[in-house]
Amino acid sequence: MKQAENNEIEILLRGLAQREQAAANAQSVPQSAKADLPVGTSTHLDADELSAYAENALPLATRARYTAHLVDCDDCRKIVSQLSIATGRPAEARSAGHETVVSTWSEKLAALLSPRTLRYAMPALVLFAVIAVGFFVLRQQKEASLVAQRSAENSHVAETQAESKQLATSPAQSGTKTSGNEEQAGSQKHAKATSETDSKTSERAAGSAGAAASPTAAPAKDKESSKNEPVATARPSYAPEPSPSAKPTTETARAETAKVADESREKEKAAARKKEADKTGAFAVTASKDAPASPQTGSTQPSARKAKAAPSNARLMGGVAGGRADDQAEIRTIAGRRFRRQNGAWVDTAYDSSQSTTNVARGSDQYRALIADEPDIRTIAEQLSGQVIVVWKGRAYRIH
Amino acid sequence: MSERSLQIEKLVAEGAQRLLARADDRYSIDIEAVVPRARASLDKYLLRDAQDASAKAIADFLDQLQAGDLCLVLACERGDPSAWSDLVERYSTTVRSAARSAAGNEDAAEDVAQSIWAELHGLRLREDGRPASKLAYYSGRGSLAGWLRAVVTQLAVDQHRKQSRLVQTEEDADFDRLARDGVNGKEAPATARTTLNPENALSDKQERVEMEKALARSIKELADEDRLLVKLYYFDDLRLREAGVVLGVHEATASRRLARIHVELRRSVENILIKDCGWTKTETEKSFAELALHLESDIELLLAAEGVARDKSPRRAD
Repeated sequence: MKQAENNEIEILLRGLAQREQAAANAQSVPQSAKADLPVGTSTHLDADELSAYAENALPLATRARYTAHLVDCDDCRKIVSQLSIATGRPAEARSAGHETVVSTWSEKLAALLSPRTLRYAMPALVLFAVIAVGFFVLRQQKEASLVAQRSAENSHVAETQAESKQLATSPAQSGTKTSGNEEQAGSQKHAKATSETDSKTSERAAGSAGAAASPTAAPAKDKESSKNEPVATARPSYAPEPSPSAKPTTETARAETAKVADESREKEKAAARKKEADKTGAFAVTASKDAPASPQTGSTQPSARKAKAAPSNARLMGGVAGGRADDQAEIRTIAGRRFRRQNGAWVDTAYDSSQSTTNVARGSDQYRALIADEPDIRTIAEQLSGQVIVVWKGRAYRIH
Repeated sequence: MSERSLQIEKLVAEGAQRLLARADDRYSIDIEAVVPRARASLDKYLLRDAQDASAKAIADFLDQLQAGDLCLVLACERGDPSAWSDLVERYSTTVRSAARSAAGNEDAAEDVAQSIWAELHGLRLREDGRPASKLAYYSGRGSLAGWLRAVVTQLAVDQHRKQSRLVQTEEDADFDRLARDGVNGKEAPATARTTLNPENALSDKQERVEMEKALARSIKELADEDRLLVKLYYFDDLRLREAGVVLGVHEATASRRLARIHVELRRSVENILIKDCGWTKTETEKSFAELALHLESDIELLLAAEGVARDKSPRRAD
């Protein structure tokens, strides 16, 4: 729009100039009466003035006076133009003495922060701020939904947490019977790594107890824990089964503790469900309430950190205790997938607890769309009753 | 003598001494010759517009005088043969070049070049018996080369005018008329087009006249520097780079100024048309667009008719 307006005024200016030139040429006598006077007389600028002007060698006030003359005097203006062009000095160099030269840092800073510059910078900054806030808010929402999504699965973890406490009461029984010296060393190492990384949480207590109680899973996870975060080594109760080498010892431990575990599980499940009923559904709350189970946690950590740390605690302890429960689970293979029965749910052995899951209710539109696309999932869902967690094409689905 | 005058005298004397110290001393110029010249330059270019100029401003002004050139000129005025020899040797090329570009043809250029040396030497004698040389007008503010170019250009213009008047015969008048017709012929295509295209009758309407009057008035209301730029670019047909050289600014600066002037002119013309001519804003915008459209086609037709369109358009492009 602005460009169009500029073009219009430019065209008008050209038209006007053309008209005036034609009018001047139409006159028989050159331009005006004063043109008959020799240039250099009082009417015109003299040669010294012309050359000084052309060389930009005049004080500002004098130059302004001559400029006013040059605007109206075609003769002098043309001579000055010729002289200036013939001189051909770099314009900026000649004008350096007269134009405002920004030299000091304060002037440069002032120029940088001038409204002319900021008129472009401010909208960009505002836009950037809006994008940053939007990103932050969306991220927060996403995290909240993820926590909510996992709350259900983590409730199982909470159940096993109490179980692990129970198991911790008889570490010597299982630890000494089921593992050799090497395994014990491995479990201690694992316990050490765990306690180093989560020094403020109840993991320390639970981890050491769990490690002592079930050293079976620890050696198999040692490598993993040494290269990644130790918390990640702990798996929930429905995590994939441990490596075969760890299996015999796990089974032995199970035999020893099965009775105790069964009794305590029922009690703890009831307690955990009661707690869940009191909660809003978000795992963060669950965790923060569960965390005080460890005496070190509740008093030392801020609630926010507690909320974050507690799931991993629960997972860790659940993983340790879950190692027992896993051993009892039955395994079925459908459509090329292996499923382990864990806590009333069928869990794909390829499922990793760190994977995010998509909840799909049986009979829902989403479920119909899923089984339409993947008939094998339909087979799995039909053959396995209750809750099923299946990993399909890299994504985990919780069918319930 | 007032205190101010004494102060200025003192400053000029000190400035003249510094000037001699800066200059080549081979002509043995006396400070007595320098002081009146420096004072004249000071009065002409500084004190006339800034009577209360500070001592520092005066000293700076004097220190910016072209010491070497001024001493050479003073030596020539004094009749120093070596100075004349130096002057001719150094500046004969400059004079010839300036004469060639000002006179238009080689013969006229040679005439101008010869005349200028005579003028510089001084054909007439002054009251004190010395030749009345044009060199007396050199102030030392600009370079001697620039001053010589200016003198040559002025002389060429004067000679051209004199010759034009002397040989102005009836035949020339006929040629002038033909030339005028040719110039007027610039508008012939527009007229012809008007006949061909009735829509373009708009250009002859009252609104066009009012708009051009408003534009002319708006140009007059611009600052002198801006008016000069408009004159140089639109009326003298200079390129932006050349206009920038005249104004002492870079081409980019001239371009920015021109863009700002467009905006100012547009706003001013609209205001005049709305306030003084009773136009509405919509009418103004519509007329701008229509008139620009017609003028643009006028100019295109005109340039096409003259066959010079392609020579001109690259100049405008910059």
